[in-house]
Amino acid sequence: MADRDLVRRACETAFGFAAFGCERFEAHAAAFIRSEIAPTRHDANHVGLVRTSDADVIEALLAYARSSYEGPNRPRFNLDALTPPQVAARLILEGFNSEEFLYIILEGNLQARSKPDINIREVTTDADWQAYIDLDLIWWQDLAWTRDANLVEQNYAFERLEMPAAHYRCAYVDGAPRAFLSAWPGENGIGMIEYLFTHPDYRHRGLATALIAHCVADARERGAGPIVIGTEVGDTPKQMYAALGFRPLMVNRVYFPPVVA
Amino acid sequence: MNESDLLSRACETIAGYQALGNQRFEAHGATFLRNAATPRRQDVNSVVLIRGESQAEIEALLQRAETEYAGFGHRRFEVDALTPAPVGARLALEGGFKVEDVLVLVLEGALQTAPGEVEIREVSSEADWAAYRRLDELWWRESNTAYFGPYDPDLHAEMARSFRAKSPAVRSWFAWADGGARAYLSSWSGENGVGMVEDLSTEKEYRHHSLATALIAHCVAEARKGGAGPVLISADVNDTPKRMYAALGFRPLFVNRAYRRLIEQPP
Repeated sequence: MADRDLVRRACETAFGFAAFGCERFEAHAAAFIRSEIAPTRHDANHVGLVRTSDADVIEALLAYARSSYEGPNRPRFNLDALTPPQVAARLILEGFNSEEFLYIILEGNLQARSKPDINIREVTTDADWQAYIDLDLIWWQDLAWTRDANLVEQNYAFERLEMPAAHYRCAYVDGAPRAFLSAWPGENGIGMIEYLFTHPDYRHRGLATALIAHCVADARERGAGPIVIGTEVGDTPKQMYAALGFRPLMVNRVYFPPVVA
Repeated sequence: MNESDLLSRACETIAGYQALGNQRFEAHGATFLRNAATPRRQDVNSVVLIRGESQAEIEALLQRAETEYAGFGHRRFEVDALTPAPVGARLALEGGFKVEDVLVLVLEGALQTAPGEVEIREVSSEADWAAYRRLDELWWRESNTAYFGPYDPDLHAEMARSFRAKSPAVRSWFAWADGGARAYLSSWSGENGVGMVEDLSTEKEYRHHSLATALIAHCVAEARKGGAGPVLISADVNDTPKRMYAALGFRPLFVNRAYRRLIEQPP
């Protein structure tokens, strides 16, 4: 698969993963997603796959996005590698801020072997799901995010909607899940693994590598070839992914309006 | 000129402006700019117009940059509107780079203003250049200590030398008031039909006197006299002039990203 085709499909896959369970519609040469279940979850309420460079269409898109989303930091635009550069330029003129996300891709084999003694289980039952939620809350603490009970509920309802297309897995140690990751085969030959977290007390034990190996295999068994994963540009896991054989493919930027005091 | 052609020419014009007065060569699907006489001027010691997209090309480019800029205090790579996505991703993976975004706007039609009566003079004599340097120092002290550090006369001299090496292709202009130079801007007609006006600054006490608007009008006209149609102007993404440029009829075209890393020099 040539790099340009790979980039195009990776953009579709990254957007498709976020769009699970959301209302999705096309307008002004872009795709909109909205979630009634998770109205304050950012990635479930944004504009992506923007494909116009026409100044008039960009103006119409911006106006329509403003009327389509409510709340602070809205509307949000996820501009990918194929979004014409005029769009970001227009949003910057408008005073939007941005955050960067690095997407890296695995085309061949993973350059690591999963430790055989790590117990990986798929999240299937309500009990599994509750254990996943408990671990997810530790992630929130680790990120120093303020716990917002309403958003927590939204997240779990939203993520469960991604099943069964996305498979969630946990790595168990000492009788409890200590790390998680999800896998999705995609719809165009490129799969995605997403939401990797390891409990801070259980890092450097091979849990993340084992989960990546399982999730890559899962997505490929279900039809994916290349597998993409997103990471914050300033975060450290990107180096681990690269060491496992993933290579840098593109940087997506999420643009959001300045917070009004 | 269609939009895709405009973007391509705009990227070439920005790189071409940087290249004026400096060594320029192509390697590994990119253009290398270098000037060993002005090693601390980072934009003229930089890799631009990066178009290679294979992993092998990108790795070779990064290695070549290490060779070409050995001994320099920085590495700088520009990711423009046409740089393939894997390049920015590879630099992001590398880490250690500060990303500086510059908004590039373009004026295709007429300027949406009628400039007032402001005296515009070309910067030509040594006395003019001394006056230019005075304003430039004010600009550094007011706006750019975060980028350049505290005012440094030696570095300023190096920057000024580098800038003057662009003339006569680039012409610099003053807005004159109260018997002195109060604002400056430069014009370049470009080499492909897209011109550029660059380096606008107005002395603090003389802002909101329409000096900047008058300079923009003059420089756009000069660039067009020399053959340019569309004319570019750059703005700091976080700064206010971008709105003034938009009000004058410039429209946002793309964001030019400079990935810049400082290299610690051995004592």
